[in-house]
Amino acid sequence: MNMRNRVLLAVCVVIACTRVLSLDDFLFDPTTIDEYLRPEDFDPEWETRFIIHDSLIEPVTLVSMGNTIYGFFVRGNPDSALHNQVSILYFHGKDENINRYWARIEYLWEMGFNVFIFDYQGYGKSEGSPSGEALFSDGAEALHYLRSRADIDESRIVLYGWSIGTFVTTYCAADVMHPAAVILESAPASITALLRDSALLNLTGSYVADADFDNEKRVGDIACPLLMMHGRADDFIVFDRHVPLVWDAAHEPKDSLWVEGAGHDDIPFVLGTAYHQAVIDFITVHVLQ
Amino acid sequence: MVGGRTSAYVFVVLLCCLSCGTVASVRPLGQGRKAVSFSFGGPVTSVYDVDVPVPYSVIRLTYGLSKDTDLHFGVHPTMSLLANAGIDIGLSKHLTTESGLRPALCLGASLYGFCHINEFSSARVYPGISLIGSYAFFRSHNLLYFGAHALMQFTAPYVILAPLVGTEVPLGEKFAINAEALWYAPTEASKDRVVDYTLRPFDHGAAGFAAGVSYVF
Repeated sequence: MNMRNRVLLAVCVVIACTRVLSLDDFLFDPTTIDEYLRPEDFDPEWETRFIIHDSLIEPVTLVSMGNTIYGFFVRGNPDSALHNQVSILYFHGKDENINRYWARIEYLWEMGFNVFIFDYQGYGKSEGSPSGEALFSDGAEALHYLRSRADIDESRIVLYGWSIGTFVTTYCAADVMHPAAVILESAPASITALLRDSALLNLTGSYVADADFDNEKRVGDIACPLLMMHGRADDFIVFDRHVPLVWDAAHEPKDSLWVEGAGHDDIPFVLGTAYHQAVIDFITVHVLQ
Repeated sequence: MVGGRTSAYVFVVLLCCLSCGTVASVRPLGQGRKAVSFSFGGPVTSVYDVDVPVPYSVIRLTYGLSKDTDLHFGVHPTMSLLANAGIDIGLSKHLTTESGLRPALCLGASLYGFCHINEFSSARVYPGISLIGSYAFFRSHNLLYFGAHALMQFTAPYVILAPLVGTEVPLGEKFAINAEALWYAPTEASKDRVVDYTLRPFDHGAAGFAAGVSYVF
C-alpha cells in the first residue's frame, strides 16, 4: 500500500469511527447499592440529628423505560403547621444516590412538606443506566406517581431540583405538567453554557452530549412561580456565567435567593434557618395563598 | 455536580481547537511537494486523577503551492469520535528566510469548521491566523520555533490566543517530529471553570503540550 492509500485509509477510519464516543456518561456519577441505609448507618454524625421516624418513610418502586427505579415518599412533619399541605418532588444531583441527600430531605420534611425523592436509573438500587433520556423518563414517571397518590393534593405539587436535578425539574415543569411552583438550586444554564465555560468557543452542547439539558430554554415555558437559589461563591456553576441566563429567561412571578458565601453544595447549610424561612415564605405566598 | 468540578468534564477536549494540534507549517514545503502529519495534544487537565494533555488530534495534508506558500487541509479525528465533523483549511505564507538573528517568519491563515452531524444549526466557522518564527540549529537540521495562534469568533471572547514554542526534529529524509508547549487563552481567567485545568499560569488560560509526526512524500 502506498502512502496515498494509507492516508485515504486513515481518513476512512476516522469517518468510520464517527459516533463511537459520547461524553454523556461523564455527566453522571452514580453509586449503586444493594440496600438503602438510614443516614446514621453510614454517617455517625447523623445519630443525634436524623429525626424522621421510620413510620413516615414509605419505600416506592416505579418503572421507567422498563427498569425499576426506587424512591421514598416521606410524609411531612406532623408537628408542622404546614403538615401534608404541600408535596415536593425532589430531583437530586449527579453524585451517588439517595443516601447522600437525606440532610436535604430532612430540611424540607421539618418544614412540614411531604417529600418524594427517587434514584434515577443506574443510581442506588435503580436498574438501568443514567442518560438524558433516562433522567427525563424517570422524572416524568415520578411526577405521574406523585399525582396519582390519593392522599396528597395534586394541585399543590412543587418541583425542587438541585444542580443536574434542575434539568429534570424544568423538563417536567415545562413539558410534563405545570406544577404549583418550581424551586431551582444551583442550576446550570445548559450543557452549552457548561461547554462554553470550559472551551470558550461558542459551540453548542450537542457537540459533546446527547442529553437535552437546557434550563435556559425550558424555564421560559414554565407557567408557575419560580424560586431560584444560587451561591455567590459557587466556583463550579459560577454565578455570573449561568444565573443571568436562566433568570432572564424566566417569567414572573419569580423570586431569587442569592446567597453570599455559599458554594455549589451548601446553600441550605450556609443559610440554616434562613433557608427554612425562604422556602416556607415562597411556598406560602405562591402555593398556599 | 455535587462536589464541584470534576475530571469527568472532558469537555475540555474542545479547547484544543484553539491550536488544533501542532502548527501547520514552520518552513516552506517546496513547490509541488506534499506532506501528511498527525498531531495530538492539548491543555493539561486531570482525567481520572491523572494529569495529561487532552489528546485532541488532527490529521493534516499539506501541499506546496509555490516555493514559499503552502496549502493545508486537516481533519479532526477526536471531534469525529464525538459525532462531530471538524476540518480546517488554510494557507501558510513564508514571509522571510532566516538571516542572522532574524528568524524565518511564516504567516498562516485558516478557516476551522465544525458541525454536529445530526444538527446542522450547530455548524460553526472560525477564522484563525498564526505567526510563527523559527531558527535552524544543530547543523541546520532542527528547528526551534515560536509564535502564536489566534482564533476569532463573534461572541466574547472575540479573540482567543495561544502562544507557543516548539521544536521540529527530522528523522531521516522523509519523517519529522514536532513537540510544542502552548499557553491556551492566556487572556482569559481560568480559575473557577467547569474544567479543572492543571497548569494555569497566573490563573489565566491553560498550559498544554502537543506532539506530531509528519511525512513528506
